[in-house]
Amino acid sequence: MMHKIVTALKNHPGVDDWLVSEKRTLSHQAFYVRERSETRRVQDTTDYQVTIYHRFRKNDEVYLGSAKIAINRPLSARELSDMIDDALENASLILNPDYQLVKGGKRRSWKQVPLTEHPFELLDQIAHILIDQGSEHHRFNAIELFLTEERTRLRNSQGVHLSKTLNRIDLEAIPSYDGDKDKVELYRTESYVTLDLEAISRMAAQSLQDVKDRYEASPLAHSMTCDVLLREADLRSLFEALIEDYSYPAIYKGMTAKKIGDSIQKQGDGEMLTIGLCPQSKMDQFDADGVILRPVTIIRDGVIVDYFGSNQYARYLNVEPNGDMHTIQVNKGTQSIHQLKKKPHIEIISLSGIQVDIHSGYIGGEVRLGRYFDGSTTHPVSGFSFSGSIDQALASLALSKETIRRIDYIGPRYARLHNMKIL
Amino acid sequence: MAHQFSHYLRTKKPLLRMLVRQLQTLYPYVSVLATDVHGFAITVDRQTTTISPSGISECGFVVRVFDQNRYSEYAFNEITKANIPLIIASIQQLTSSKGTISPVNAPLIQERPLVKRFVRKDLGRDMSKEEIIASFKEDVQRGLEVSEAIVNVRVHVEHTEVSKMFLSQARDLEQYYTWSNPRVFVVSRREASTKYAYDGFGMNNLAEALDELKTRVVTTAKLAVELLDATPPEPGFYDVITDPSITGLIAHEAFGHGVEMDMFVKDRAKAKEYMNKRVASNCVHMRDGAKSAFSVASYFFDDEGVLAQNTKIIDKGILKRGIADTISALQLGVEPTGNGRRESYKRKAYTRMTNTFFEPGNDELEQMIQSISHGYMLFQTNNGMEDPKNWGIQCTAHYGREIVDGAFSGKIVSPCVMSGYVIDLLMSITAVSKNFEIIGSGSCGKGYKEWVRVSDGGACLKAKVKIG
Repeated sequence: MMHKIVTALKNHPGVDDWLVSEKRTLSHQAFYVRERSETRRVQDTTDYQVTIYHRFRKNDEVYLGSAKIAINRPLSARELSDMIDDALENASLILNPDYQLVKGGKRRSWKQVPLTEHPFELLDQIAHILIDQGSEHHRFNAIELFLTEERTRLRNSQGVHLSKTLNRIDLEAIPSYDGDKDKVELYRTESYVTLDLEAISRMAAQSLQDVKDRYEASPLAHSMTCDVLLREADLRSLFEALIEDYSYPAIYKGMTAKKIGDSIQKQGDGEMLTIGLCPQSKMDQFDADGVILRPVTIIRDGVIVDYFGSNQYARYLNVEPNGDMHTIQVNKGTQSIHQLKKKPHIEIISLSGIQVDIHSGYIGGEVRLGRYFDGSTTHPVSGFSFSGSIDQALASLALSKETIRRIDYIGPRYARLHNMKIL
Repeated sequence: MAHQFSHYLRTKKPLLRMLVRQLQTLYPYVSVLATDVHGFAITVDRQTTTISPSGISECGFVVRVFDQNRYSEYAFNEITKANIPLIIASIQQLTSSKGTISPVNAPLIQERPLVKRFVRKDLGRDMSKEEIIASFKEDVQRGLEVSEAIVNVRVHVEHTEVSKMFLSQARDLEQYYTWSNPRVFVVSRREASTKYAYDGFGMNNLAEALDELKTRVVTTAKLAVELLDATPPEPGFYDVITDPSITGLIAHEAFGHGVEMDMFVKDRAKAKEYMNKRVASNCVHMRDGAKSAFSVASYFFDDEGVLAQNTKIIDKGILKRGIADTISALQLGVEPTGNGRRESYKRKAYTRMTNTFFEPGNDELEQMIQSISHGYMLFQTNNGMEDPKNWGIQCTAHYGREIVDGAFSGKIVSPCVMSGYVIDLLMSITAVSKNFEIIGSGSCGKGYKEWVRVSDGGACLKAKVKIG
């Protein structure tokens, strides 16, 4: 089908440039309910996305119009030609500034070794790791496992000819504790690009410990201000929010008044942040436009030093694109976790979802489980919310020396936000 | 726009029937869902224009079979006479792998025979993409002219045509329907302060939707300017009035997820212990269903071939029943409610909400506002997260307007993050307005995935909540 599409595009009058992405997905999915196998699924699909570019002059300006087509099924030559005609007509309506598509070099390919030859055996093995750590009233009530191989082939009219095959395991697990007084649960989601059964086992054990803590947690006696320790996924969300206004499209569209050289952190006692982006894995080497990914630092020592993103808006800003990446990389801090935990604090184990509004300067969330250290003892707490000012939090930010590597985040394991309001 | 059921699916129907017939010799239950969802999305802002396929475009097939103790599914997007044996072989390979974890031993699906076709076309006139883009460029300009503080205005519409076919031993169903979702997003700035406002809605009339958008662009731009003066509210417990968007957010996130009955099967829902018990004050009535209102989730049958229904979940504050997909209903011994939905044919069917809302009451909004000495009226859904087993709430309103001594003080706050315990909130409802609106532009995930289009809304509620 790729050959058929490319041939049609090359021979279609009026198509000045084109980009074709083929995505073949082979996904094995297993669903477990109350420690039994509920459903198994296989997805074996191939989809295409085609972008048609039409360069034209109007009122002495040169424009590059483009339109995308989704091809989700086999097409006849006639159907394909009609779709290209429609897209070409659409592209001729679009008065976007002209820009250069990504230019290709030699044909390149990256392929990650499959994680297993026996997908459902592996998924059951992972499920066992979780299930076997449970007991009658303390277990995983639901587990969903997705083992996905995704092959992407990308070609454009400027010689880009790339392919990559990536594998990943996505896991959603619900640890639950059914005690005499109540039943509680937590929500856990993880993704892995390599197979590390010991890491999964550690995650399972920690999840069961966390949900037991939620069962034993008590409400806080009163509202107060307190330091808050954030970790892992919540930290990633915070750092993502801190850089999202510095993508090429956000800059081009005026989402922020800040620019390279401006500071995002007010002076204070806090550690200065360095935040960047990098590919998700060694085999994840190009983005949807064909840009070869290169790690980039967006914030260095609290100051904006670069923007990020893919081709079109980089060209509008007259810079070389670094590519569309989603793994956030943050510098480690100067204090150990032990030091961070020395003063009274609440360690946030589970939030409903961290709320970060950069434009209002707000950070907060509803806490499903925390561990409160009052200066002498630590005990689990739940049923409260925290909130505060991002500006003030960043001015006094402390980051841990210890780091963590996840599929979407490489950086400090903990960050300490000073003086949050607890209600 | 095709204006009719997918020609492609019709041409594949004989092959799908053949596939079902052949699989019936191997499995006691076989069904196939075939989907062809397409459409377009157009976005125009100050600098650029884009035309792309609808974000929910899909075309393919998912076969479900029952192998005596477990359901298995195979999703694919190419079927020819020649590859049917390969599809069957793949399904046999899937079901022959027994695994090391015992199956749930689900019962066999029993379907009543039904052959039916459903059609719901866009009610407006045809609009060319050129006409839409021209209209949007005027909208952008109109928004920019509201104030010098407006930095950018982005207007967007997604128009979708849905064709779905469900075939099984007993059922032969086809549905075709359309929907349009316009949205506007406005960025404002004063010195270093940047704020944004947005609005979105849905209707089955593209032309009328774009007419309505013209007004919404201006109100959204004015709001974006007003929000430049907004600050986060002081954390605390407040009397609040929720606008229909926030009412819907509470109905959906705080309570609705907890009555999705696949959560009952997984022992993940506190609501299971509260059937026929009080969960809200006497003035609260709540419904869900593809037939409960006319909005973005108003289909004719769900992704498991069950006809759309209208389910009363809360009646006078008493929890009466939940909503269910087919497999969960089977395991619980109840009837499915037409809520078995998939993100696409590529994904599993779960119990999912459709159009979810609190019904209107007898109170006048003005009097509700006048009854508050200090509190907020909360507007515009930002996001929310469910906690079905423990009924924690996190619902974020984009902004609130302060009420002092029964009248708006002029102060605006943003964002307003509500939290607390669902039952405390629902029991605190003391007034429900006569006015009522369903917001037909939402998307809902289950956990952090499985996105489907939903609507929610309802009347304005007076309640007491924790903000901050």
